[in-house]
Amino acid sequence: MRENLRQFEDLDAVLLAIDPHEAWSAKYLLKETGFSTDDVSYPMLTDPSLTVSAAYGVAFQMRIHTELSNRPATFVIDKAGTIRFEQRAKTFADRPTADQIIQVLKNLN
Amino acid sequence: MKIFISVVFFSATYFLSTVTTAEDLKSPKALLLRFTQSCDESQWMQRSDRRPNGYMLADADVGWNVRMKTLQKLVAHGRSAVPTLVQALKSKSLPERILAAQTLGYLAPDVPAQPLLAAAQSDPDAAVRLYAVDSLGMLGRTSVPVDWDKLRQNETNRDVRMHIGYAMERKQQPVEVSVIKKLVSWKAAQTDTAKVGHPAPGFELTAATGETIRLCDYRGKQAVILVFIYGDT
Repeated sequence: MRENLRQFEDLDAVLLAIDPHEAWSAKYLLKETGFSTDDVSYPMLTDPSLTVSAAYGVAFQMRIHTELSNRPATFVIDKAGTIRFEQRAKTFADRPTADQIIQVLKNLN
Repeated sequence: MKIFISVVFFSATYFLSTVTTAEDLKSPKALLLRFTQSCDESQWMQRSDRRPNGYMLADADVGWNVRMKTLQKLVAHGRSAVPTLVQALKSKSLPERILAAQTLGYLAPDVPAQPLLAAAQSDPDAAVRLYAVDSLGMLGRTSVPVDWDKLRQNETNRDVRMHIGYAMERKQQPVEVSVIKKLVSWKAAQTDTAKVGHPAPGFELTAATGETIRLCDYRGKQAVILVFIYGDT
């Protein structure tokens, strides 16, 4: 994971994760596994008002852990602020690989 | 003559304002009714192993859209929506109870803790208990003290026990006012506007570590890989 982050950085890109909960859930989960939020090597953004999740069209689309939560999705936004790639999970495991993302980043410029 | 003109002017503006905001003026009761009538309960209340895409709701499902709009409008009503939502916690309709339990947290601090606590303790459906726990936590310090340890001991559902853990982690810190303000000022037209080839919807969010991050901060500097995650996924 850290290796991938470094590769993204080399391609002039940053990874931002967005979680729909308030920060307490991240803190609790990390504490349960013996970590803290400072140990996460990429920014973990929180969207408790769900407004960003709704703007990106992922809110309330996955029913998991008794919740109606965000559909997992990945977007690549270029330096001009334009969306150049999107993958909205059709099944739970439907995520792009790091290599796919690297390929997308290489084709941006 | 002057009076006549101002009467015409005022009735005209009144008429226009009712036309443009009739949707926003819908009562909390009417909003809840429209929500329960429009949501396809058979699709999204079904167990994940019986749905074709497992955990995922169908791509074409508009239920999420209606849910977001209803949540937003109810929260925009402010404290006047509270009595209707408290009553809805006892509704026969499961989607209505879930939505009411979730919405009440965003109406903090004008929400009585007791009805949420009762739902968290004894609603037959785990999703209602889970959202009641979340909302109870969002209220912060309540007049009726909540015995979270006892609530967790009596809870049979693992996910709800996790959310009780989140609520305990906040140590009576209420939901931040900025979160509520963001939801209140949200416009339905902003829904589902992320498309390839189009400008990415902008945002300003707080990281779990506390710093504020804006999408526009990366403009002209770095590309952004935006990953929507769910807790540990």
